[in-house]
Amino acid sequence: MAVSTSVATIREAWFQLNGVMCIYKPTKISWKQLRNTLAFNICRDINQLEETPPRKFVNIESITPNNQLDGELVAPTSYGVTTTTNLTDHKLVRGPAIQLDDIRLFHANRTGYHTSGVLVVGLNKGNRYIDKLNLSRPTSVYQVKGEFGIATDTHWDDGKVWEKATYAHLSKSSIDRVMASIQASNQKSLFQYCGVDPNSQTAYELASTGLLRPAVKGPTVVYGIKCVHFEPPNFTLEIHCINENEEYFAIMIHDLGLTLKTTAVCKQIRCIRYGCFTVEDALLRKHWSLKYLPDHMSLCHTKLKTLPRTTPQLSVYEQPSSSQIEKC
Amino acid sequence: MKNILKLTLAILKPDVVKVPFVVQEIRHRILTAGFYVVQSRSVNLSHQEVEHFYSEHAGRFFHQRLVTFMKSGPIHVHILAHPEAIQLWRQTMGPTKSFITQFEAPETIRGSFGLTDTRNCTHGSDSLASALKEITFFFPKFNYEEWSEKHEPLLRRGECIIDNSTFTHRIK
Amino acid sequence: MLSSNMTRVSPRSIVLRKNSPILSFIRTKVSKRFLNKSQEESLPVYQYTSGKNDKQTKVFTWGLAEHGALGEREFLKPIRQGRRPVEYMHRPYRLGFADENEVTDIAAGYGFTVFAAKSKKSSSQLFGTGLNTDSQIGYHSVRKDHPLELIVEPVPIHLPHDKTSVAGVACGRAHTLVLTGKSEVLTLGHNGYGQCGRHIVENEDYQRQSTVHTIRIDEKISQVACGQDHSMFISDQGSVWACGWSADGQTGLGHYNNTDRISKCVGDIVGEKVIKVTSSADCVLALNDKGQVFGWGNSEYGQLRLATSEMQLHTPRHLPLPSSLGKIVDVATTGTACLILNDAGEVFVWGYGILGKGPVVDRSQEPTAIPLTLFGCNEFNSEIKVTSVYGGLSQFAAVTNTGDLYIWGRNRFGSLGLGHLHNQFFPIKISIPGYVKKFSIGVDHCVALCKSYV
Repeated sequence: MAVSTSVATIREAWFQLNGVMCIYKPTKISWKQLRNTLAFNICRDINQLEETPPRKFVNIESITPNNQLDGELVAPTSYGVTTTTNLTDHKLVRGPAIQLDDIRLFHANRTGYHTSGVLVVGLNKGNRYIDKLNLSRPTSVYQVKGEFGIATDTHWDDGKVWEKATYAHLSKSSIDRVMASIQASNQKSLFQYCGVDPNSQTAYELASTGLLRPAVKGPTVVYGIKCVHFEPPNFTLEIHCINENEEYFAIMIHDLGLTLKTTAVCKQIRCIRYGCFTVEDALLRKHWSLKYLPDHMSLCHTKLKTLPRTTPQLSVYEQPSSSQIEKC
Repeated sequence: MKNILKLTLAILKPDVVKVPFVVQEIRHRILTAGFYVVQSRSVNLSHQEVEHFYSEHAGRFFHQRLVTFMKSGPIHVHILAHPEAIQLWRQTMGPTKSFITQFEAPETIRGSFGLTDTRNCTHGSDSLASALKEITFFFPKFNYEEWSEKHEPLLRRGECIIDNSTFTHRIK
Repeated sequence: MLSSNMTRVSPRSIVLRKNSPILSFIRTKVSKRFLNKSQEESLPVYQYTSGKNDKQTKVFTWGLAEHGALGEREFLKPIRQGRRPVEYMHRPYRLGFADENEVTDIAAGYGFTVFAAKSKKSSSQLFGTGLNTDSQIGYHSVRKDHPLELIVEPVPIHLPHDKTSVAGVACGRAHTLVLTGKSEVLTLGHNGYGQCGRHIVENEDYQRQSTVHTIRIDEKISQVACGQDHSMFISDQGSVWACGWSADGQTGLGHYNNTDRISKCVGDIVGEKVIKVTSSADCVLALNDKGQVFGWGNSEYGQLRLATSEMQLHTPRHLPLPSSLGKIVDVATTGTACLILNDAGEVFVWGYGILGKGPVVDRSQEPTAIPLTLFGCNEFNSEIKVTSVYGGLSQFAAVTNTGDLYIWGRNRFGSLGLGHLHNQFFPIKISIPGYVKKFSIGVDHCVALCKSYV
């Protein structure tokens, strides 16, 4: 992926459009919309570049003598070569050079409709890196904002308000204690999800090495959670987790409210890190254009290369075969 | 005749006698193992009686605690009958040391309900001779010859029902 | 209300199919936004707390329910028709009793539980539930001369003086020690070995015994602790006193005879200021204010191997621990193993049984550390420390500075509270909503005293 900032032709630009992007996803936009916007922007920009001249239509005609008898094969005496404009390759016939369907975009981390923040997207041949990135099971960091005092039907602040409650009794320390409890419970549940027999030596050894990463996609596991901002009724949590989705966060905020004897709704979810990609790297919406993308992709590529080789620490627990049981 | 019933002596020690749930569970296990209960009694032993009963362990380091433990409360004594009475009862009880038995044989009585190595729920005779000796100790009026002539064939044929109030098999 | 409805496009005015996507869009998106505002303002504001800044005390119990020691009547005598009695509860169960009464101390014995609680309804500050075949939770009878063997929910235990304040409780196999506010100790229950500190009566029927004995010594008693069949007391000057069964030397009086009079322990602890003494079966550990550990009693599984190679020790002996362990701040024992905690929050274990080092390690002669990662210390939470440790007959437990309870050992009738009946070979967190203040492990049940988060 050699990239130069000065691309002149569509052809040059097209070869540079392979790689991984780290996009800052705005809230209230679905992946489908984002993908379309991104693809549209790329198409719009790339098609403004200088086109490769259309290929010539070369017509070779054989010239045979005029006094030819019917059905008699006579070797042509000479060939006439004519070059004309190739109409099928003409812009007015085939449309723009790069079209929406040509751009293949896939996302690495699934961020929901309400979520904003880091979204790692693979473009064309860069999609193979997406698989690699996901196989290393990176953790994500989220900043989740919530508000105490109201409860809605969707657990989001734009839902229908069902209930209001007081929150004057809350303090930072009471939230911290609940956070510690959530964190410890999640770390305990890791053993249940990782498929290791809890009575085995393997389970003990894995447990004493520290945190495990599930080898398979499964339920959400929160590794770390803390309250980074508390100004009643508003609060912000920072959550390190894996296999998350935004419904999980919304329900968690709701449950947090109930535990603290009040009610709470989720206001904002922002992904600030996914694996090695942080929110500082993320490309804002105004920069989703051909002018910035190639440079950005080369930056992301260097980041991917420095990605530590973190393989999942757990494999799926295998049932001991009958022969092994007999030995025991 | 192969299936002649033999006898063994089972004692429920003071730690479990005071716990109705465990007594009930042990009795249930005695019956499901196929024992016939010939006689039962509850007794409070005096220091001299326990010393006499455990005279074979005299001089061992655990003798003192065994004696003080056994005299600390009432015990239940049962004469159990089964063709393999001694082995089967020892198997149902499990090894002596509860702290080890609870991991190695958790399904046995001592594995399930034993508290410590001394407070290990139950006692069982180790041989036929000692079983008869221990039975005479607790049941002086029990006549083995008379029982094997009169009651043993009836028990063997199953012509008996369990009386739950006294925990004894009564001949129909 | 009306005006906002007027501006709204009514879905009924548009002729659409019933399940049309446009219709469902209007229903979900539009209706929420419009109906909300005016209704929202008219909603009442609920208050779910008392408003005062007092954290609620909660008590959780789990384990075998058959004895009634869990304190929930519903387990043994279901009120609802067709419901079967609960044999065991393998998850922490929140006790309703603690919501009505302010529980200050708890202790679990063999099939019974004792609570020190301030109650509005009863003048007694001592409550008990569970097995009562030795009147270990007092004499309760419905008919005259028919004492209750089993009590299914916490009942007040009547003490000689009605307004006795209860400072602490401890339970043995079948006896209870109650430390009063006047630094005396009241004893109830089985006295076959003299563990109640009163004269042993031959063939005494403890079930019909309504005596509450009072123990006084020259010094003020500040702490009480129980083994299975012996009792230990610490005075405010740091001396240790004991009575009860001593067949393994667990009273530390220099002999193997039962003692029915409270006597001062001899040996290395004389002159030391002891701050804690603990025993769950027959092995005793004591801790002084300098962080030194003393041991006596049973050593069949090498619990006191550091001090002696004998099976029993009747005189308290100082355990020479490696200096690398630092200052010891807490001790705990099971029947076969010992656990110590140093001031850095690290835990060391030795002896036999489930030590918390995986299923392979069963016997350890030297104190070996249990990795702190097992107590939740990792890159996201590097400040985790263990703050207190507890021991049962074959279980250990530890509480961290975040108030989480970790437990490991033999899962007798679900007494580990992990939701299953399998043994646990390394420390694992018990899910309790609240931070744990006090914990007590009985023979086949556990009791935890917690504070709510808010």
